Amino acid sequence: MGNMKQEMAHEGSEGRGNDVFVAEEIRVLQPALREYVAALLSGRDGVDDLVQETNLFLWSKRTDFVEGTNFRSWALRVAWFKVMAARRDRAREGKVVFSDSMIEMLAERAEQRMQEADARLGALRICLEKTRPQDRRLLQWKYARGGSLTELAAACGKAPTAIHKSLSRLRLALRHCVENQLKSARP
Amino acid sequence: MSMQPDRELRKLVDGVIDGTLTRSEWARLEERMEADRAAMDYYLEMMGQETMLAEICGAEETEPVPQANPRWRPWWAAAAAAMVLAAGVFTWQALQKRESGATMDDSPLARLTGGVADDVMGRRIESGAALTGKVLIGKGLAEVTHRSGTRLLIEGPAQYEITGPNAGRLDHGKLVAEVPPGAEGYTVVWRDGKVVDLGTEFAVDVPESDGPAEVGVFRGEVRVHPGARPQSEGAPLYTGHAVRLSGSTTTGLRSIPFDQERFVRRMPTRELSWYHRGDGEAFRWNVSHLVWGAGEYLVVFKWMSGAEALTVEKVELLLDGEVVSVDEHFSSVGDLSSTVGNVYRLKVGPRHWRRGEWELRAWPGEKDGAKTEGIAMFEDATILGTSGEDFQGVWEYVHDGKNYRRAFHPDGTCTLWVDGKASDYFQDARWQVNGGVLRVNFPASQLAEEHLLRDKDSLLFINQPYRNARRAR
Repeated sequence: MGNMKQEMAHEGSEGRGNDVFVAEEIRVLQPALREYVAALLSGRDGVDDLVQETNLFLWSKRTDFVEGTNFRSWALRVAWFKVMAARRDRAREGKVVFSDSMIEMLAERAEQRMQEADARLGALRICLEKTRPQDRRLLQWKYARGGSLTELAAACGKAPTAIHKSLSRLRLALRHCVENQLKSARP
Repeated sequence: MSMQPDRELRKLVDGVIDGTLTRSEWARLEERMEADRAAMDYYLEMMGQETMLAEICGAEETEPVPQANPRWRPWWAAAAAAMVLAAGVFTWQALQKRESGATMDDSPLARLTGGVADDVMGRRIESGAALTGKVLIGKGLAEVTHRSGTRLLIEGPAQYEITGPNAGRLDHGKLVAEVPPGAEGYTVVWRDGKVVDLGTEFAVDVPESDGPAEVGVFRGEVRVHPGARPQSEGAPLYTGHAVRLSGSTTTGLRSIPFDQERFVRRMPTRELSWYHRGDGEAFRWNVSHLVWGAGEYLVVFKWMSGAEALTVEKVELLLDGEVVSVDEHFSSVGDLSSTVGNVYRLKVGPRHWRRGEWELRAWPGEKDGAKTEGIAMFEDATILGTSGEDFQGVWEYVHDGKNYRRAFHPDGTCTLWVDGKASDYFQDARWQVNGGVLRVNFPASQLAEEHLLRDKDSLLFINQPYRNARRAR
């Protein structure tokens, strides 16, 4: 992100104020936007791309943005339409998607929860630092490399179900840890 | 307030994450979330956590993979292709690229754009196919092009894993990356290091055993990060320089001379051109990058223009100047009616093969002073193992500005279209396949057109001056 600001500095002065403003808004919004999209797309598949697309759309329309209006709600509206398009495609491919009423409820609730997104991300980082090395390796495998659990099971000589269970337990433990972190941080 | 999920809810949300929920389980999850705000919050928390885990872990570098239990099969063979995680970080480069339309959002992370490679199950990957997960290269070369435009030439034996639109992991093998403007930042990691490109052409060699990896730069600049958890800024490496990863220096790197000859930087063409001035001089071609191992190779001479025909008397394969294999027979290469014996077979025994400079020589016949030109196709003789069914279908090619299509039907008949119009050229012709060669026999003239199949989608003409035909889609 710092990179982006540096680049900005090289640009001409025209419209630069807005550019810097929008770039910063986009940057700040990332954790919340990711959570929002992940909630509506049900998981990790396609989230990166959709967040990226939303960022790019916002960026390409940066001159349209009026300073002083609500950037977040503009961004969420963009993301919402992109999610709807992705959802239509999934439904067309015969994949299961949430009903219209459910997706609207989820969107509403996700929006309400948004202001804590940054705190949750920070808490998760702290919690990850506390994980045991073997758990850390499992998470790395799954989330950094996108490795298949079946592969990992074969590599460790364990049953795939055992790996699945470990991961499920780990997710729950992390959630618990995040919750505690947030609680202790709250006044 | 957070709630402790009951067994059912936990199972349902895990199912969403793992992508294993059935239709009725989805419905059940909806019911639960509709009825209970806390259930919805649990779902939202877990989804948020999933995507943040991907974000945090993806931004750090990967730790070494757990070692496979030696009693087991290779760990990659045991499973389906790894899922691919796109490194979805919002960057300035991405903005610029997307804005200029240089990338397509929905295109695959990478494609096989040349050469030969297999997937983790050992299945051959079709040329042009989208790549996900691991790609195995046996002997030979594969060209992989990332979505970003970064083009890789990977020399086997090698194993490469696509991990993003502009990133990959080299388990072992030799890789040359050409990173075009706009794709800077291409990253390749291996078991104990990584390279981040700053707009270059560079090479990485990761030995299959535990030997140290080496990195060299043909032009431009890269950053080399040594160690299994490379977190440092990385050491810069510039044009013409190379380093070897070394535990005995404080930086983890040791400067070494850059042996550029060890790396293949261009996909070698299988079509060697020749130009005969009629002076009897031998044709010579360097085929080092086409002779990948012991086996049998075919050389098919094709005439394209000039005097009526070229005669060839002998074809030789030499290793570092020593003749290893010879096929001595007379052939004539011209148009259909004057082509005979134009396929030469050269064997390289297992004890004769090694890395070195391989040269192909062909000796033309009489010195008739006439100028002729054409190509010689250098092929692996395993293509002679193809059967009749492999040839069936419609094939397209262009010659002298016209579009041709020829179809080989299962009943032995064939059809030819020229610029979309059916031609009567194949009216009485019949095709059959013997020893991997397809012959279209024309009863009236006693002539036969001959074809070879280089791969599922490439049909070669043996005795017509046409370029290769592609299978019609």
